[in-house]
Amino acid sequence: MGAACETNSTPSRGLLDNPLIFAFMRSRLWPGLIAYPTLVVFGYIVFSLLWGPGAASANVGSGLTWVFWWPLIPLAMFAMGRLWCAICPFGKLIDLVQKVAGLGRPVPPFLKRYGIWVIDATFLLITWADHAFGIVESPRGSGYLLGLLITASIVTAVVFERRAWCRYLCFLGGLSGNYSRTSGVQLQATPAICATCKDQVCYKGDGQLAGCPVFEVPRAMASMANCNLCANCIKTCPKGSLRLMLRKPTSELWFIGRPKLSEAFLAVVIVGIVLVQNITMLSFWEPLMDRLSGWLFDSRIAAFTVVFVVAMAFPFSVVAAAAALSAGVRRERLFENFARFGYAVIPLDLAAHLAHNLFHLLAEGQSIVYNLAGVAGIYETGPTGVVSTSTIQVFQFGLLALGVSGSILTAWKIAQRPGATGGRMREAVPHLVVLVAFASLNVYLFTMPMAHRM
Amino acid sequence: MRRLTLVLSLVAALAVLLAGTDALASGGLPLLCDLQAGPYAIALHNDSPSLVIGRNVLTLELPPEAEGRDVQLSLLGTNGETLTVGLRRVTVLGGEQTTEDMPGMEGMKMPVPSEFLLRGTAELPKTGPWRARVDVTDTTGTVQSAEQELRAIDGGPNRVYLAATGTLIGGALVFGVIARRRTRPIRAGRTR
Repeated sequence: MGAACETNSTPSRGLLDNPLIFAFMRSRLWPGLIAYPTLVVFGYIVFSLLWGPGAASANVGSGLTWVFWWPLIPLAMFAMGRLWCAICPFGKLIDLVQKVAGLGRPVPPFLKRYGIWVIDATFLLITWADHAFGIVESPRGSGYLLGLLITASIVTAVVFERRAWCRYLCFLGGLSGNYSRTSGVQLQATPAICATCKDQVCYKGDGQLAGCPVFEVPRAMASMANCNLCANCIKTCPKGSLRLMLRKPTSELWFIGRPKLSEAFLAVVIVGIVLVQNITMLSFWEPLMDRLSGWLFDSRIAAFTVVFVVAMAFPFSVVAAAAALSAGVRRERLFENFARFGYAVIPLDLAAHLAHNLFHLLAEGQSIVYNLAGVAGIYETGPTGVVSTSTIQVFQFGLLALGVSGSILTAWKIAQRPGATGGRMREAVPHLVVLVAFASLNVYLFTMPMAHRM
Repeated sequence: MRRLTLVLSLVAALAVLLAGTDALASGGLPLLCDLQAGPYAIALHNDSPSLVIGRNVLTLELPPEAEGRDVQLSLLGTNGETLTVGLRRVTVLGGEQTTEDMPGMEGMKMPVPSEFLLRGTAELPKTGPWRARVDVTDTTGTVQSAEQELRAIDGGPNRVYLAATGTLIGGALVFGVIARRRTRPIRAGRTR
């Protein structure tokens, strides 16, 4: 029968049907070809941050980290999911450490269950520390942060198996997980092929190549939140089960099977974080801090902490209020509704995050060129902007428009899921209002003049 | 959904037209001190907020009147050390400033004399007080000088931090290597 029949019924493997993409992803060159050079550049960045110029505006490491890499990372997540994680220097460092000193102990259940909350807390702590101690503005501060992350990732790599750090503890991994759900690509296995497989080398490894570094079983993988497209499963699967499919951006968010409060919480927290990032770069920020500090024993840290708590509590309270109004439709608890609809904020998060950082990339991008030239002994200066401020604003508002559209669509699709007893519109409207309010707030903030980061 | 996207895009475009705001100025290089050498008001910048041990990239911001003059920058230590900074002109990309951008003179495109920058590096061997000295020699050979005391610090990373992270990383690696050897099965033919 059937070889011909089997060939005819073989489903499309999506992008992997392209022989070049397939060959590249199966080759040993991926992801090492990019990961090792990235590790070298990262090493230089850390060196530059710790021992280079003390002014962020003159430090190549600061520019490459906060003006170049940080703005581009959400874009990469939207385009290709957690692809960055496959070439991330921390991940490569973990792989190298585990070759010589890894004990490969299993990840404790506590970490599996509450890791995302650790990520949420770390993200909040880093954002707070950034403004309280000026991490981004200080090359040394940025260097200390990276040093702490390197230390934590190496200690984790020594003790635990695979990339436990990336999956359960990396704050950027948590962010990537949320943003990657909006991406337009999905790696998935072919159920019919996997049904005949007993080895699961995609998960366990084949002796020569490790199994999935982020503890995913491809046959059961319905989300791109954790897959980093390292392609180990594509390389090891003897039956060619893996497919790299294109999908509608944000579509994964429409059908979250088991919504998690921790992930929804992170999504809502990011609204607050972007709010803080925007506010601290506006002209009224310094006078506001001066006045608040005067009331709080002349402590800028105390003053910022107050603003930070308010900024974080604001989106959380608003979404919780919407959830309270919406929850009655399905007779569900407030936090169940919060968890379901919290995912709808993610596209807007991504857009606002990207729009904010786009300003830094496009308004300060040239400074990286001047600083790199300075390292080579060429003294140059000039405008730091790549395009005009009004052009940047067009991009920012365009992104926000796309983001809020994606969020509204997601909220609507979430409300369409079976189980509503009192009307889908009634369930969705409170959340739609909140999404439009968040978008309007961002539009307002982006119309105001912003300070440069460097 | 398409309608909504269209409406939001229009709102955004309107906001752009109404806003028309500029970015706030960037931080730029930290100012170490101002020096007044005769008629020349000069600003000395560094690539760190103060002088630091090791490499300093120093930038002099000079007024247009100093154009064509011979400018020397040196750092003088307390024990008579003299570090002469080899200055080179900083290329300003994006063209010279013209009156085109100035209120009331738009479109005239007359060149405007502007401040210019000289930059060089100095390797400082020690912390403590240093004097920055600028000499401007004009076309008649007259030297105008200015000095300003500065303090050099150890601008590198905190040593306690380095020691703590280094110990943790090193300790974890050593622990991992030793623990692996203990748990690894003994090879056949080898005895303890």
